[in-house]
Amino acid sequence: MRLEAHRKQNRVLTYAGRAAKAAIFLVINYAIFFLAPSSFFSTTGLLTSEIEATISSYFLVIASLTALNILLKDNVIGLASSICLGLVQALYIYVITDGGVLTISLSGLALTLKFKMLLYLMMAIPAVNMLKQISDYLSRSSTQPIEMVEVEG
Amino acid sequence: MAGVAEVEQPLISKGFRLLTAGLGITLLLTLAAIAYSFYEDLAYFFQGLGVSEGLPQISINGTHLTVSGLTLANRGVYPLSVALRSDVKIGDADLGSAETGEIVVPPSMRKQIDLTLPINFSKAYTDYNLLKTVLFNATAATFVMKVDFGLQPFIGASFEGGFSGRIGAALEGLTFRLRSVEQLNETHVRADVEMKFTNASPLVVNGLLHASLTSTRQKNLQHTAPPIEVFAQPSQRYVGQLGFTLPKEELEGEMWYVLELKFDTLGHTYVWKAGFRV
Repeated sequence: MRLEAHRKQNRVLTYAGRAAKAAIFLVINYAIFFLAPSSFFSTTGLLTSEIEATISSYFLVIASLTALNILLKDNVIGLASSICLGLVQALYIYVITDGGVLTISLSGLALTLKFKMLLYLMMAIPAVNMLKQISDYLSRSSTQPIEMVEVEG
Repeated sequence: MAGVAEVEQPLISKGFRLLTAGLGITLLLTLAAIAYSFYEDLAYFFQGLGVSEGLPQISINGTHLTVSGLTLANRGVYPLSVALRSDVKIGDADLGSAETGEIVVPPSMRKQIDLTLPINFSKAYTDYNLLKTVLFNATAATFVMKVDFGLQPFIGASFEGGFSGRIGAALEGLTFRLRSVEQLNETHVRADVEMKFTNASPLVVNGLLHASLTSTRQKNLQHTAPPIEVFAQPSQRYVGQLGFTLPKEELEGEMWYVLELKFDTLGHTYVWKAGFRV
């Protein structure tokens, strides 16, 4: 009975911790995947309703997958969401930067920015993170943690 | 007290974590260096444009367009690679293009860039309407300048901008006037009609001008002058003379006379009318 209560308390504490972590990551993701691109496109005058919709929809997907990944990290759903998250983040970076080529009009001059190398560097981070999650899950499933119970004397 | 003893992270996981951290730090440092360099270089570029400092001098002659004295300084912390390309067009016809190739400006250094474009007017010479425009009307040549900046290998930026330069007409200020009248015999006179123009275009004017004077006395009668060869280099002022043999009574009284002109040049024929008053 007491053991059950302990387990329940532990689970609540675990999920509370994860929820807090998820909240922090949501804020970080909001800054990276919503605020930064929105500010960039609005400053350069490239913000269209289409880009706005792309940013919002990708951010919603990224936020949901981040929350799922953190909350259910021991679960297969957590793994699936983490793989999807890596893919979606990499795809988002590619789509929003138009494949690393952006054209801005500045007082009669057309400025074209090409940053494919930077783009690959940016895309590599979620990709590597995704591989790490897969590797972590595989190693966790082969090495289960040991549950210790304190025995009252 | 119940607890879970965490299994030590496997080496591969640590490796991935390190790799992610390394990539993140590289990205941040690269972005910071590029942003600083880009800001400094762009600020310099636009400041230079604003005060006309570092702006090139552009000159055009019959064969070349020269862009000289473009000074670029790299005030950032990253080597700046610059390539300048220029295209010249009249209407849709490409007259020439040239590029400097990649020029690398190390940090805290400045370089002067010169560019010479060989201009090929063959298109203007072979296109009937284009040549007509260049012969008779002042036109504009469009210069498209493309500047490729690069903070390689991470970022490349291209500026593309254009401006127009006036090109005068090849037959600019074309006028005719009766210069002299000489009695030939009792019935006829020789009238010399002076033709003047300045070749304000970069093209060489070279052709044969046929002229005939419409009779003011008799309907459908034309008095024809021997054709004259017209040749004028760019910027040259041309003065020629058309010699008409006319019946004495043709030039009696003050009035406007109409010349019918036919100019054969470069395989094309242009026909127009001009007038002069006596």
